[in-house]
Amino acid sequence: MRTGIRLPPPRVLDILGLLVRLGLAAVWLVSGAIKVADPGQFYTAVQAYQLFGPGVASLISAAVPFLELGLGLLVLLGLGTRLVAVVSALLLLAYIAGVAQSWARGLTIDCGCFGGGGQVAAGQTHYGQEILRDTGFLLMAGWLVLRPKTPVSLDRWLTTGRQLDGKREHEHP
Amino acid sequence: MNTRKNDRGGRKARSAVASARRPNRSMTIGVVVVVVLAAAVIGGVLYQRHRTAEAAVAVIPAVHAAATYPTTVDRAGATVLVGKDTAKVTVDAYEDFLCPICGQFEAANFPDLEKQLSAGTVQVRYHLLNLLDDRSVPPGYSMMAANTALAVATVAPEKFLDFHYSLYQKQPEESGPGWTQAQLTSLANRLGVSGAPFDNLVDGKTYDARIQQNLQTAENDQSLWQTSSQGSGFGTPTIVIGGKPVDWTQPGWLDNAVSAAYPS
Repeated sequence: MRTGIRLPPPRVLDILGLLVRLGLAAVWLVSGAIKVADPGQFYTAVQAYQLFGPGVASLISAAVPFLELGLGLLVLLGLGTRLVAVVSALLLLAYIAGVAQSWARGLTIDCGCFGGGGQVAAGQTHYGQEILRDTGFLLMAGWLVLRPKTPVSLDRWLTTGRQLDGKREHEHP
Repeated sequence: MNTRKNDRGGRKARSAVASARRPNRSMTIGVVVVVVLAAAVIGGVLYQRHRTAEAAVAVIPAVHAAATYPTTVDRAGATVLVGKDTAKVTVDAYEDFLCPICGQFEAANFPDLEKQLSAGTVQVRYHLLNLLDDRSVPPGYSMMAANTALAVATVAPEKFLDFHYSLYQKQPEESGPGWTQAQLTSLANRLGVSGAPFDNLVDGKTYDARIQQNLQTAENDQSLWQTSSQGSGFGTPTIVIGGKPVDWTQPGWLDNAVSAAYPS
């Protein structure tokens, strides 16, 4: 607001922020749930990137689905929104880098972003769409990094609580 | 306009007050976020360990085919031939013990194959391959299962089909840990196959090199290739009669082959 650019009224930004937050929550929860439901498939997907040995790929395929669910839960609740958005953005950047390097190296794989994954036939890759989609999610995360305050969030609820504390503190000294 | 200005002013005042104790509160929230995410990661790893451990103690149930059929093993070629040698139809089955579609093929067709085996009209030559060696964690389940099956066939040919049938009845998940050698050996033992000759074949991985060679031969043999949405190439299962792959998903493929060989 100090930048001089005319922004929509805060109420509109609030509602947009809420939609972005819920959207990102849906992305993580859906993607995490699909992966948790079929761990073997996700391991195949991780392996197809040909970046890790079997041990590391196994560790990644064990941890990432639950990490996604954790991020989804936190962003849904709106708890620590900025930090969660930063972690989300980093994860999405890693995904984009993973897909981009597969594309550059001429691998023929499915990204395994929402289930699936592994080798596909030469004409069956969708690297462009996959990167574009992840970039969209990255923009959502970026929005929440810049403007993490949204309505109906634990962050806001805790802030309201803090105001009472703050007032009391002012009275105290 | 006025009201909006007031609103903004109110917001600023509130956030100024709010920032008084922000570091503490933010720190707490940050710690909670980190704890939740760390718990998710650790939980995921523990869950995977649990699944692996659970799979390792499981027992592959021994199941038996309806009857025993003449069985011979080609030790040099690492294939197993089941059925009467007077049968006019020979079905060549290229399979991998990890491959889910091979499991579907067996489930859908084994009863019919058994009928023909009993009637003496069909022989089945099993080519046990390791196409999906890299689809288990640790890799190599396909090879281990194939070598063990060939060891069973070598020591006790009449038990091969039971071993084969049992493994397809309780197939491990693709990309999972697969069965361990101990679990495979235990199945063989419970089917009555044990002893030093069997253990030597298993421990010596006697058939591994030949299985690998058979896979390469099959992959390079264009007469075995099939075309799917994934392109053209060799895959498992491939079912061949008279030198040509047949579409086993079409009902009646076996009956058609039998009635062609035995016109009534």
